[in-house]
Amino acid sequence: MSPPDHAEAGGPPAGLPENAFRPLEPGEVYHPLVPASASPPEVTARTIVQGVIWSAVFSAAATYIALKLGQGIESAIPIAILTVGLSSVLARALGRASTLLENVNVLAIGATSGIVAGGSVFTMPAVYILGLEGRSGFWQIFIVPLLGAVLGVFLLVPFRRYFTHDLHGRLPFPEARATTEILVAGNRGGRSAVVLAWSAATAAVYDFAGPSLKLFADTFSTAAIGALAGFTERTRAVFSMNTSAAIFGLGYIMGVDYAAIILAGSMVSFFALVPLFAWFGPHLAGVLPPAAVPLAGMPAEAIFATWVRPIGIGGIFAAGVISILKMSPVIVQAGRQAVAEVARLARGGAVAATARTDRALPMSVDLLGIAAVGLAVAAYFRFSVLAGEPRATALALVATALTLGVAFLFAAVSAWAIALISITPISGMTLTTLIITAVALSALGLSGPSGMLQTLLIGGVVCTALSMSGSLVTQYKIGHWLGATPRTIEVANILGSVVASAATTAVIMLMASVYGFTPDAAHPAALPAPQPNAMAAVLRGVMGSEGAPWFLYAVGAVFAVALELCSVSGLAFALGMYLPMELNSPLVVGAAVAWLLRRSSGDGAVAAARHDQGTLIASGFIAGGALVGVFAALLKFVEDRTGATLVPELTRLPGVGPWLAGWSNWSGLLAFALLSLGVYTVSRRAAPEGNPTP
Amino acid sequence: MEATETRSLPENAYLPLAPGQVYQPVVPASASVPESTWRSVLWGVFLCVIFTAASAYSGLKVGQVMEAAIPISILAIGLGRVYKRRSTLLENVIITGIGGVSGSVVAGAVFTLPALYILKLDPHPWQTIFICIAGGMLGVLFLLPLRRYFVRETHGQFPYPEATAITEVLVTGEKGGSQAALLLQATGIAAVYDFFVTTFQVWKETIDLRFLPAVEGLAQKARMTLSFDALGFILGLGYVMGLRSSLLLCAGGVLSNLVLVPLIWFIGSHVPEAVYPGTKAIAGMDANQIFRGYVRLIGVGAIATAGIFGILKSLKIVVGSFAIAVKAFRAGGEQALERTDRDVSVMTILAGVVVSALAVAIFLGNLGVTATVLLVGLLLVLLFSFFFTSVAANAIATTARNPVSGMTMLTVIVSSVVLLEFGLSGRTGMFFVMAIAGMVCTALSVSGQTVTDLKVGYWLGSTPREQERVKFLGVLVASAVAGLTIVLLARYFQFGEAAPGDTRTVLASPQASLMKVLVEGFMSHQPVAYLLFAIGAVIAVIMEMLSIPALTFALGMYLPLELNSPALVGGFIAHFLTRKSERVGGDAGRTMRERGVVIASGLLAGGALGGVFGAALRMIPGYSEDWIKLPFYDTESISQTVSLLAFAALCLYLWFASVKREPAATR
Repeated sequence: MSPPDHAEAGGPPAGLPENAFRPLEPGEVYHPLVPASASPPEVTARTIVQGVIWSAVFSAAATYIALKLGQGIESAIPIAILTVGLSSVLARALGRASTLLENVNVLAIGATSGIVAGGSVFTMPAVYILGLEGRSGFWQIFIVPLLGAVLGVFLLVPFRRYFTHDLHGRLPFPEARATTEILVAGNRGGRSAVVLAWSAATAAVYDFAGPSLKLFADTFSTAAIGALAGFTERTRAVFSMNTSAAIFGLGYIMGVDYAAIILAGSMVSFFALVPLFAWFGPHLAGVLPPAAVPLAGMPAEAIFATWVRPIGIGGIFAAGVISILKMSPVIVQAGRQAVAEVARLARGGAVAATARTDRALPMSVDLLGIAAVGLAVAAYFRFSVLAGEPRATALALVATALTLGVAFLFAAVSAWAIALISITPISGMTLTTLIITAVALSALGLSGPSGMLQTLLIGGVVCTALSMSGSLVTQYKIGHWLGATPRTIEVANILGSVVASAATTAVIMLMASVYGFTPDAAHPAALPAPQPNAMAAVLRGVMGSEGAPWFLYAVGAVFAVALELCSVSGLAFALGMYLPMELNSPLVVGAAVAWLLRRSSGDGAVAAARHDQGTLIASGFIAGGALVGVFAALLKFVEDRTGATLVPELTRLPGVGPWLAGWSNWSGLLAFALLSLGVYTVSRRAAPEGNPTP
Repeated sequence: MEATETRSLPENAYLPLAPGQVYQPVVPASASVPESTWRSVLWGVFLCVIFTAASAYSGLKVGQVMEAAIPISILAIGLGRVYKRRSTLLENVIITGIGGVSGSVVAGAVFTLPALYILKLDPHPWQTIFICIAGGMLGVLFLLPLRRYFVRETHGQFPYPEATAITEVLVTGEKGGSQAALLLQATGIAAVYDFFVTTFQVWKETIDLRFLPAVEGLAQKARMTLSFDALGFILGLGYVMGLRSSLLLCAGGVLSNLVLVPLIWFIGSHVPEAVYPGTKAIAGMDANQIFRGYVRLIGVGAIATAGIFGILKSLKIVVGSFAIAVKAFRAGGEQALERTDRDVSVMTILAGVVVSALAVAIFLGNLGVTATVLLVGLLLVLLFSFFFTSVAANAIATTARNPVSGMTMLTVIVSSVVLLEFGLSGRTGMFFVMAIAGMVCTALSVSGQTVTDLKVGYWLGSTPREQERVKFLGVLVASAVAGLTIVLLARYFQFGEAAPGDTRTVLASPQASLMKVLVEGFMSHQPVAYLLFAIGAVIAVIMEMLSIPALTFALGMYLPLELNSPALVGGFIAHFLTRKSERVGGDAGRTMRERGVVIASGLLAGGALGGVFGAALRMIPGYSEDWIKLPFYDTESISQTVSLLAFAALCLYLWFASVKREPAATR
């Protein structure tokens, strides 16, 4: 996801040296904001407490959004804003404002959240989808992202100087730049934090009132409109729209181009393919596999889930592979650089650093760390996953070698991609890992549930490692610009990943228990979890025994290729095809509000200020909405276990209840319209910096 | 009179203009060069008659209408050298303009009118001829207000493959020198290549690789088939269209053939009965039948919807265009405009539309229907002609292909449904609907050709008014000849399928047979496959949402994949050649690009010539495709491999002949 547009400003922000963003002349040295000679407090109790809190909170939010919508969320920027904002509160409470470097360290602990969540949410839920949860508990799911994250840190450590010093000014680092600007411009961050806090609170209340309290329907649907009943019955074309604030915020940040592609995917699914299937219904007396009931009587959602979704999965898969192919020049380049750098270090290129701003984990510790992770991975595979399989030791060694080798390559690629364009094709690289691993392990005779679990875990480790290295390179650069000690950043990241892994795993397990990830009898309203479903489909196909809907996958894959021919992002489109319409349509509303705000004034600065204000509110919406979603799931979990009613449903109230229920479809739409209008009006009041707010 | 000195096309001929930049044609607006002289008009009419008659025959027999405009431009160059005073560039434009009408009028006529005979409705010869004339006139009249938009305002945005080829032929032919030799060479190669491949059984024209077990398995199990029509003509077309358009075209083809066809088969193979509009169970259909039976209708829906978007987008400029013309008219003539922007006056156009409308009304009135039906019918003719005119112009400008039969199908369907509401049915209804379809079909076919012609004129510096005047003449001549040919052929042959008890030879006329099935179905109250059209419409809307040119994509969905895939190869060659030429830079790079366009135009021209020869040969009694047949022709694996290699050789020729530097151009 793209960060807000602070990075669009021309030169370096006030405070940063003039040569921060340009290549250095020969002999010229970059002096960071906090000089190497100074040593202000970096790691203190407050950084650890704050970092851990933010890490836990944002991990939970990111996990929820990724399971529901298949999108990663931006956590570094909101954390930076909140940290800066809290700084002034802490100044009053503790008598000293946080130092710049303390804030960098809060960020280093906290920002792991999005990363670990991204790594583990894309893979681990597949454990449940494949029905393997009996073989893995909390600790197993917890250890995978943790090992991956730690591995990611250790793998990137040797390249730090290369990315930050040698390439200084040559790589854009869009996200690091935006975050640095927020940290430096302290008091602006203070005001932003307030906006972020109240918008998160608004979203939390709003998203609790709708889905949980049933004050209004959380989904508007044309299927619920009496006047359209005949049309719906004939064509099965249904338009629906979720009314949640979190999705609105996500759409706002996504922007109109990307949101339109996603909605387009949904339209193909719901307005073209579902009606096409339904059209044949009356002619079809028998059962069309893989369904178990005749097509003629199925509602749109069932047709979608049975046949159209697998098409979307095929599309996600193909788009992932295509994204890797497109990245192949970067992969080759990154691989070559990595090997050259390793060779240089092996020749003794690593000089013992003396300056504080150049003090990192020593090479020996780093190598030991990698070896330790390797051992841990091997032991985990040998004695937990593969225990009982023939040739377990050999297989475990191969699996470990695969993990380390692929992780090394992709970690380098991911760091490059983040430095260049601030996006990394995580799902594509993970799918590639899964395929390579599955084929290799099948060749060695491993298949069935153990094979699938083993492959998935390797995927999980690699996926987290590569996300981690992408995040760490950003933080290295922030630290380089501001003058932090690299070693504290490295340690902070490892600490953060422990917290984030725990939080992510807890949320995944909670969601698996309350909602599930594939619709079945026990979980009719499952969370979509697109990437894990695609991963599970691949594994089932390569290693499982049951027949996969290959035909539909293939059709979906071709569809994605056709879109790439039109230079449309196949991944976004396929995600759109896979996700239900109601989750995609509100994205466009959010994106449209962003588009309107950007064009709301002829004065570029005014329009940008309004748009930035909206971005803050949208970030707050995402966080608030996601957290309340997790909270609601928790309440439901407790309700299911205890049988007690914790959340009263307003529709059950005598008197107003039936009235609320009867109008809920329209009241939901109205509430969402008011929310959108509210964001627009409030953001319009923002003025560029320096001008008083009218 | 002296022929003015001829020059090559300016640098910005194929590029969008920078703000404030003006395109200066080859013959500047200030020069006044003979255009419509006796020589050019008479030769144009003569060629028009010949090509119309030949084309009508070929169209009825095999459903292929000849590509007339490019061969006529080549003939015009040759003719010009016979005279003492060489014809001017602009005279040649006129000859091409009149002659080129032939193919388009024929396409309109043979796709519809034979249905009247197949249905045994016995049209009077005058009725047949009138339908052609009315349609052709409407096509030209409705296109004229759009000229400024399609030709001038959007300069450089549409590739205009066919117009490019004609222009290159006319300019290089006139100029002579090494480029002309290159053009001649490419034309010759493609003419021989396409002639032999399409006329005789030398090697397989279409490559589908189904001799490979894996590919055949895919076709059997999933109805996923790839096909590739290895012709020089399409290669050249793809080159001129460019990579972006050919990618979109191909993407549409992929969606139709590799997504929708397999999906329909996936569902349909479990359906025991035939699903309308198909006539047999889907389980027994091959990929091509599924494509023609169902997916094409989705494509038609997409084309129509994309067309509406196109009209909405061009509306502002059309209105502006009218405003300019009206203002100029009020200001006392159009002297204010420069020569190369002077159209036939707005009043003439309006008068023409009114007269045509009255004539159509009288014609339809004679068919014995109520006044309401008459009015509705008239309205349908005018609306459809107007609407499809711009769709056709857009399609031709982008891909050089006109979705004539798709648009005509839509006309038949909508007219039938509407007129049924007004109580029209039975044999009168069929005649009425087919008459409407015939006019609309001719109109849209002619308008596509006219926009090509006007673009050629714009590039070269013709006076639009001169071109437009002779266009009417051309339509008149071509319609009369086409109508007469059909009337004559109907006397000695029968169309469609052999009727019981009729021993006359059968001319297949495939498109008209399709229309006949449709109109018969509707007039006897069959259900309509609205859903397929609606799905197409949704797809077009989605493409607009993604800012993809929806019409190009929709055309790709509608046209058979084998015609789209070779264009992609041409598009890629163009792309890489442009990149290489940019690396080389300077004059050498410029020459490279020029040579590429000249060769591609030569391939187009040669392919068209080869097609004309082939059609001419088919008129010889006793003609048979195996007159020339290579021994390995029936062995798919060898035959297709040879075809593939030959096509690859053609690509290599296109590439290396383009990048080759002339001795003078070396550093």
